[in-house]
Amino acid sequence: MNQQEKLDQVLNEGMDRLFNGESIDRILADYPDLAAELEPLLRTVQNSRALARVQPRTEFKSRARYEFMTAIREKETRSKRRFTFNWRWQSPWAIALASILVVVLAGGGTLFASGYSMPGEALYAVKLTAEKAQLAVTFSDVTRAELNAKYAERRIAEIEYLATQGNADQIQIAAANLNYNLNNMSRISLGDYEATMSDEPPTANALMFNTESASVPGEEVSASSETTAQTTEAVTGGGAATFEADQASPELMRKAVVPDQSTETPVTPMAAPAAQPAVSAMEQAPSPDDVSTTLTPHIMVLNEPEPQIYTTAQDEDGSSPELTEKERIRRIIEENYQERQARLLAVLENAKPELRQAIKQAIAASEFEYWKAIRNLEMNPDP
Amino acid sequence: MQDEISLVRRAQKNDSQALSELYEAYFDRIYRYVAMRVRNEMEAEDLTQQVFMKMLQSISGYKSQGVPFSSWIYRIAHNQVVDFLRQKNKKTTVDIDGLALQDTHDDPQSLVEKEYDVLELKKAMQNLTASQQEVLALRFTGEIPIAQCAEIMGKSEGAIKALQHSAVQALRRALAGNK
Repeated sequence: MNQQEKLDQVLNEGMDRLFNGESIDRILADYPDLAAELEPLLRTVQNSRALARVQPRTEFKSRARYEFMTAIREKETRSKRRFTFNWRWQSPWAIALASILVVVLAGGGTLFASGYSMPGEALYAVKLTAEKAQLAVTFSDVTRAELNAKYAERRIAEIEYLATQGNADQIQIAAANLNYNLNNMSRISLGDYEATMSDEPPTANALMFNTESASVPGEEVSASSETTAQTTEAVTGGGAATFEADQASPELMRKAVVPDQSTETPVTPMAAPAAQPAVSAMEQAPSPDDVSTTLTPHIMVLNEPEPQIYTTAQDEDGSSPELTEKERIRRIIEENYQERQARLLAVLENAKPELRQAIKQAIAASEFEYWKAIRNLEMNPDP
Repeated sequence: MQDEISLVRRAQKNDSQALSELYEAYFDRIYRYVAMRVRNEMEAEDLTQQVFMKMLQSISGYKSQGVPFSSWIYRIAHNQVVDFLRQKNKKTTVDIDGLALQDTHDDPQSLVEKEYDVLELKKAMQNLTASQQEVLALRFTGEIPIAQCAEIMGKSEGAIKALQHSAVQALRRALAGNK
């Protein structure tokens, strides 16, 4: 091996060790005679680490994943079509048994495939039903919050994909289902999930912009339409008129913006600990129509409660903090919220004009449910 | 490795879950590799999707006799990129000798601390030959071992080591030139 080949070999070994986390100094110590030539090369490799962190855009990943799963399903369909079966030669009981086997064996696959379905597809209902079933057999509030956060993330992926397809109607359905999951989270934060949980699956129209206020224990059900309207307007960034003006579904929008006072429990700014200053901030928020030109990822954070810092005496000792159940729920809600809003705003930024209204509604609803959830937690701290 | 082999076998039988798991395992890595080879984000996205569609079409023909699945899928990506660049007739490389090479005796301290961002690196990479870009893309983005790089690029291990050495030297010069 000549000198050049030796350096080729040593550089290769050094790169492998660098990729495995060893320090350059330690690597060089093993090759003192080549260290002078080796060091600048290894530094170059180390300083190029950014290349290993390049990530595809989230929106692209969602779309690509969906298209890949669609291609898998098409492939399955084609292979099933090629399969021919001469039923005339089979006895009735054998056909019945085979049918049962097909259903049983294919069931898991259908359920799995449904996980990649989108609103408007046959398997989408299966996907939502499976999620609901999972929630129904979950009894820990923290796990419920985690599941709803996970499902909300799926809804965002659906909206991202549907925006690339230019499908406003289906975005509204995904947004309605997003609102359902977020509403679940605010109910969980209330600590009374079972009692307040609706057995009815979400319907797109009813949930399109659900300004239903969370019930707060101890509050009287004496709705003040003024305060409710104030809150609604604040949450939509003063955009109630914009929503009402939606000609595509005026009935729906009227229903969403003007809550049914017979069932509404009002959210008064006075009732919520963080609401007073926050509502003022919301009143100053830009209208939804301004979102595209004025928003940075934080401007739509109309009513962000003060971030909670989970410090305990144990923290100071260096040991890991023990979070209460509500603190864990809050952390789930906050983490999910930050990513969700950033992704929705990114979708909005790139959306065609005809899609913007539906996406804005999703953003406003997401904002509102987050506010409700945090307020519920603050109103009902751990004993 | 054994898990991946059984995953691939299931995928070859059209098991959608196994196909999905392979997709998730390789998607980001393949994207990074492709993104380093082409200049445009949209091109990188299109090509990445094409790689996985090809995988779906041809996975039944994959034989694991000594060739890891990762080599096979990177080979698909390599072919897609090469075809793409050929079709677009893009001049993606500049002869390294044509560069105005600068003295690379950097201040040792700044050299230690400086970590280049992706744009700087991509710009510098454009000054490398196609083969040099290829070997660094495989090594940096996927940390592919040299033996697998040799399989993917259809060269001997010795040739790949020499290529890698010249590529890192060229990258160093190009980064210094970009300052």
